Amino acid sequence: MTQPLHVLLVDDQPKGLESLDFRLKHAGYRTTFAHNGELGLQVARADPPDLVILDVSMPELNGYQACRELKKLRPDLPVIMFTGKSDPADRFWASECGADAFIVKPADPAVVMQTLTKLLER
Amino acid sequence: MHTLLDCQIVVASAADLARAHGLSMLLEQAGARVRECSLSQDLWTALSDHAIDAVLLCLPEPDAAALVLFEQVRSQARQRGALTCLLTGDARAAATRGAIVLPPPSQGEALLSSLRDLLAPARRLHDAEEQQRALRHELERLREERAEVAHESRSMLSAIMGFASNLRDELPGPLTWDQRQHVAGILEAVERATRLLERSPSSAPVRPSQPPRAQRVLIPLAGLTREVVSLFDAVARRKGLTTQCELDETVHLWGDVAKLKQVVTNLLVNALRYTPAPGRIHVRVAWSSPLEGDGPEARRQALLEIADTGPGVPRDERELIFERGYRARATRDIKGEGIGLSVVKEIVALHGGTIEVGGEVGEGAVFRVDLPQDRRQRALDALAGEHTGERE
Repeated sequence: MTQPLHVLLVDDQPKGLESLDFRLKHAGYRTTFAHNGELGLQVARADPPDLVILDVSMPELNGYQACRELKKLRPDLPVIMFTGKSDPADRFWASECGADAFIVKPADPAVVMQTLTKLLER
Repeated sequence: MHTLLDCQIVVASAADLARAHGLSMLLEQAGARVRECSLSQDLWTALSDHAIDAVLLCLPEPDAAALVLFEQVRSQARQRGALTCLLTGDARAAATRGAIVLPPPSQGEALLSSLRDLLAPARRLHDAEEQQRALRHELERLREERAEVAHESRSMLSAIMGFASNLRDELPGPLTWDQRQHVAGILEAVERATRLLERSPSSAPVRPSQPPRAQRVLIPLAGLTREVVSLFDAVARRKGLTTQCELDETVHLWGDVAKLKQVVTNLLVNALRYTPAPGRIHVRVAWSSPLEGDGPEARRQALLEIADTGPGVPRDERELIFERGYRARATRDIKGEGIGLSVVKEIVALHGGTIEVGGEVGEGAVFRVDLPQDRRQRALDALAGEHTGERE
């Protein structure tokens, strides 16, 4: 029996990714939550994920810094930035840090799922 | 009160230095900052200062040669937006040259009163500029606040949309027809609120098909840099810093004027902010080595370098300082948002260039920006007969 794919969700807002978490579990993924970038990195080291969904504005380590560290850990780890920041500069920074996708909130979770599936197939 | 608070005045005198000194004391008592000098090289050096408000020439007997000198000084001072006045024993001779003649220092009150009235329009302009700066600052604060509200609203709408979409897709379980109508109502309201947010310019997302573009024109980088540096001359002096420029006038490149000015400004402000007095800021514009190829096909790179004598940047922070919101360890106590250098990096990237920081810790930082000239674009435009200054 194959192991379910592991998705790490990193957001400092408690309700931020909860609905997505529900949807992922419903689709058969295993999920882990971390409430800031630093905790996200700790989880990624202890229990390597197959994909990470990251918020940008977080205490301790923001999404850009966390993304850079995650990519150092595993360059091929797919990372989706899912953020309320819609400035063109944020998109630039996301790509600078190596993020594979940039989705502006609010977005239909079905769209997030599509992106996630594509990245995991890659 | 005949106050001349914070006015910067040059007092130049040919021979009667004691008299000039008395005048300086009078002006200083009224709050002015005074620089005394002779009618020699000193005077021309003083006139190169952008911050001066007035030049007072003490010429007891204004002969023809003295009046020619007066006209030269006045012409130079005008370029700096400063007023030139004469203190002379022969007001009639001076008046024939259209000179403003002040009462003698023995009539202290009258002299200060005249000078204050003459400087009043310039002071009003100065006050208006201060007010404009304050308003600009307030506008920037409001813009940031609006962006923050938009960001928070987006996050909340995302949560609502997430849960409502899960219900719509019946993930928690089947819905009745009525329940589906209610969920559809919630999602419609979220979409309307999202559209409203997208109408706000500060929060509108950029579609992937429309990346941000610079408005490119052919720019003399030395001239642009000089212009920005001159704006900060007075600030640098007040802080006890000297600014040196080494600018190659032949350096031109295709770029966005406003954005490149922002690059020079942010790097310069960074150097001014973190360099303690007495310190030095060295600004250099030059050609750096060709980027690729030889001969006419070679793409040259323009180099902009701003070096300071501040604390420098440790090796482990040399990439981090360009990230949004990052504040270097050594300078965290100094006021700043940690945004300036990230903006510089964004603009440099938009121009296809690179930025790096070097220098030794404790000796200073050297920010180096390399910008490709994009010569092929220039050649194409020249062939098409386009004019310099036109948009790409």
